[in-house]
Amino acid sequence: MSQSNESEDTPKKELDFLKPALAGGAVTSILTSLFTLVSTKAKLPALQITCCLWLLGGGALATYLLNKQRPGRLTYGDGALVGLFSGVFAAILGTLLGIPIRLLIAPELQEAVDQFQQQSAQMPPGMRDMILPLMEPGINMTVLLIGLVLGLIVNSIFMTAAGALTVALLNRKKND
Amino acid sequence: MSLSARAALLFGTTVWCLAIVATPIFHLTPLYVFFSAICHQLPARSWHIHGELLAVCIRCTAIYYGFLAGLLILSKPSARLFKIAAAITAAEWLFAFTVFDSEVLRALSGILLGASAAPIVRTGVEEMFTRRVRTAHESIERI
Repeated sequence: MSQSNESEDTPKKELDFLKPALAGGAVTSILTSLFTLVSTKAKLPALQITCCLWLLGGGALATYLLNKQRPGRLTYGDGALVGLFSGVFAAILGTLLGIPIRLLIAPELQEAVDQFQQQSAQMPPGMRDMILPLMEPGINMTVLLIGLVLGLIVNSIFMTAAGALTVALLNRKKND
Repeated sequence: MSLSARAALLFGTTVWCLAIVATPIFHLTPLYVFFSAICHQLPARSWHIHGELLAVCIRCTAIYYGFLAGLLILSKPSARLFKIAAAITAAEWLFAFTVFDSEVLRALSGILLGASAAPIVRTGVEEMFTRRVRTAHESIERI
């Protein structure tokens, strides 16, 4: 990747990835948790139409904040890296925020379990036994761990992509 | 390192795309649960195989398959192409919301968006890995 002459001549200031990544991760995890709470309590599954927008938005925010440190001179790699970090933070914060959220939506989770038991009669028993404990209301270490691992995978993928793509939207006019 | 990052991205994307189609064919309920974290999976807005929903909606399917095609076909990242694709997708969404919702337009705009995003994400991932390896080498040399 070629950089402009200006960026080659002047020494680059080291980028601080931590603060933008924390901000992006925090915004994503808080919005995702609030969204889960509101859509479950209000019984509005149609709200799910926003799907992965919070993830993309968090990655974009992290890159936007990073861009302020070196306006117009970020590489796609810088965006991808800050997106990856914010994805990891979002997964950890989201798992922690998930604890009170699961307690708050316990009645709705119980309803979902009852509904699932009725609808899953034709499902192989092994699979049903695997899924049911994950849906049970309350705090369960297995559920938290699975949530953390899934969060790490999904958030990292989407927020890394969002970071690189935000660089394209912000400042890659010279190099392409 | 750059080549392995590229190969890993291509492999991961291929597995992701195959999983979307394999989910209804093999009745993989856990994968429906996994993909529900990133897609609404509304039946009216999804394609079906043998009467069962794909794991994600039409727009998402188109974006992921477009992304895979972009990884295979496009070599150079183009911010301009990505901006145009994003604008077309936004316009299509607005058009569908206000005038007429078309599966074909949704799919085409999704494919274009995914394909244009692929080289940018690939470059980002390659640069990210190269940067990490360089930093690690510098740290080792200092020690």
